Amino acid sequence: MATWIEACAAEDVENEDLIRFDHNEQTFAIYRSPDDEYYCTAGLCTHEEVHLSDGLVMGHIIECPMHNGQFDYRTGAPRRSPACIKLKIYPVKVENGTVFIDIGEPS
Amino acid sequence: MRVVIVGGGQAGASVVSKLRQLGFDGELLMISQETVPPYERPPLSKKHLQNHTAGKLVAILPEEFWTECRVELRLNTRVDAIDPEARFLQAGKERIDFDHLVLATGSSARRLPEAITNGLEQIFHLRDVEDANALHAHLQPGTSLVIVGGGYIGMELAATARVKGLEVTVIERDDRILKRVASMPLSNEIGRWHRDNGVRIIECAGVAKLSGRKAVQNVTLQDGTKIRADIVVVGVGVSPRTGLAEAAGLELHNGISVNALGLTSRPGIWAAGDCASFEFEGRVLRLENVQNAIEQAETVAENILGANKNYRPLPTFWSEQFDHLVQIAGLFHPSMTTVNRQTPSGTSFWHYHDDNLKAVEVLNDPKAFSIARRMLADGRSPAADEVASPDLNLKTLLKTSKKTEPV
Ligand SMILES: Cc1cc2nc3c(=O)[nH]c(=O)nc-3n(C[C@H](O)[C@H](O)[C@H](O)COP(=O)(O)OP(=O)(O)OC[C@H]3O[C@@H](n4cnc5c(N)ncnc54)[C@H](O)[C@@H]3O)c2cc1C
Ligand code: FES
Repeated sequence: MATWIEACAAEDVENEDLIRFDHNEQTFAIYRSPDDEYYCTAGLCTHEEVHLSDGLVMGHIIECPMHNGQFDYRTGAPRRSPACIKLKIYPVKVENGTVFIDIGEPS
Repeated sequence: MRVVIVGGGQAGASVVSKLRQLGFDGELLMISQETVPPYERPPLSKKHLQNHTAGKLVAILPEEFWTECRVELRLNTRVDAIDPEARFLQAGKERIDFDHLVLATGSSARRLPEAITNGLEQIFHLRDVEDANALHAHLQPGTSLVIVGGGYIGMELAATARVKGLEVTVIERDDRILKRVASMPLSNEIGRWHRDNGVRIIECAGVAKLSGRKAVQNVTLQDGTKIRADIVVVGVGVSPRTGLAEAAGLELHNGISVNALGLTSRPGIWAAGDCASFEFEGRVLRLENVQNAIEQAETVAENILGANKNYRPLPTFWSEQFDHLVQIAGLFHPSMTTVNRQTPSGTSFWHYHDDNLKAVEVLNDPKAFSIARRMLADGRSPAADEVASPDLNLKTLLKTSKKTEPV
């Protein structure tokens, strides 16, 4: 079942950057790509539970700040060791300058 | 085609996973003398030892990898010899043929001479899971632990043991801990964390002898000082495991010599990780870290498949002590000039050779580290006064700072 929640204002996230968003004990990462699309993944690296929000966005890649593992934040797919487990991703929509994420059905 | 890997550590694991990821369809065999599939060593001196949940190692590859990716893993097996001409290995009585061979034999903990240790018990090292398990049993509150060697493993163990309530003394031969691997301001900062937490650090001190009845009881320094010890851990560095390569007549240079591709002096025989040494920017390097084990091994995998790609390391290291995180990128040298950056979120030391950024050490500020590491990878050198200014958003420098040669 879809569970849309309001995450942040679209302008809170800079181009080619990400922010952390916490909701009920859960933590998420909200991304804005170089082409101004928005994405959302689980907030913690799958290698060692570190906040990805301290990492660096390069194109469509998020690089973990801890051991530099990389993921494609559009699909959650691991792109560089030591990251080897997929990140959960969540549907995103932007309406009237507000970013909503659907935390009901991660994939 | 059949590729055989000797060694089941980080480098070996990275070679096999990269080969399959690149679509290599031939036979893959990994031979390891350890009892378990490749696991991460860094937690052994950190979390694994702190909240020891026996057997809960961090596997480098998921359990299903071995069957799904058709990699034969032979554990508890020691490779005894290589015949580089006839292209086979000897493991016990078995002869194993190969087309390509990757030596990923890693390194082993250096020991103190027998003349110092006197064959006493309760003297430990920390390199693999067996070492960690043996040591863990002795990490009881009130126990006196003497650590010989103030390198990263020694300092991490000191922090872990202190948190567990042991009386901890670190003995360092040089005039400061971490001299070989950290700048002076970083050594000082780490030393301060330890002293604040009650770890005793003795610098400029050589160990003369260990004494006791059956188990060690005292450590005597060269100046005659005697320190009581229930257990001693020796953390005086590692030596590359080169025995196999040496017996097979491969070239060595403080490690198994490889060229930029990862190839040894014999065709079809490669090496990567802690055991391999290579020339880079006029220096012969042998790096002992996870980043190097992964990236050098992945380069070897690509080159086995004909990519002809040169390995350009960006040395990266991290350490966790007490509640602090240290992250380092690049290669520090004492001749460099250092710029301090102090912000509410953390401290960092930026090391320059002339105007070129060469290495960065970051304390408790992973965001700054991500950016600094990217600058080094891209060959960017931000101006020193900008780095020193706490109000400046580092990220802006990623696009604007001067571009030189990548590190
Ligand atoms: C306690 C500890 C903490 C560390 N902390 C960090 C850290 O925080 N950050 C960091 O970057 N690095 C850290 N390191 C270093 C890092 O773990 C090593 O650089 C890395 O493991 C190197 O991988 P490798 O595959 O080259 O060698 P190894 O991991 O040493 O693996 C080599 C393997 O080959 C096997 N082998 C050797 N010879 C034979 C043979 N003849 N037959 C069969 N098998 C053989 C060995 O048993 C071993 O399993 C730490 C190391 C230790 C021990
Ligand atoms: S915690 Fe992210 S790569 Fe290790």
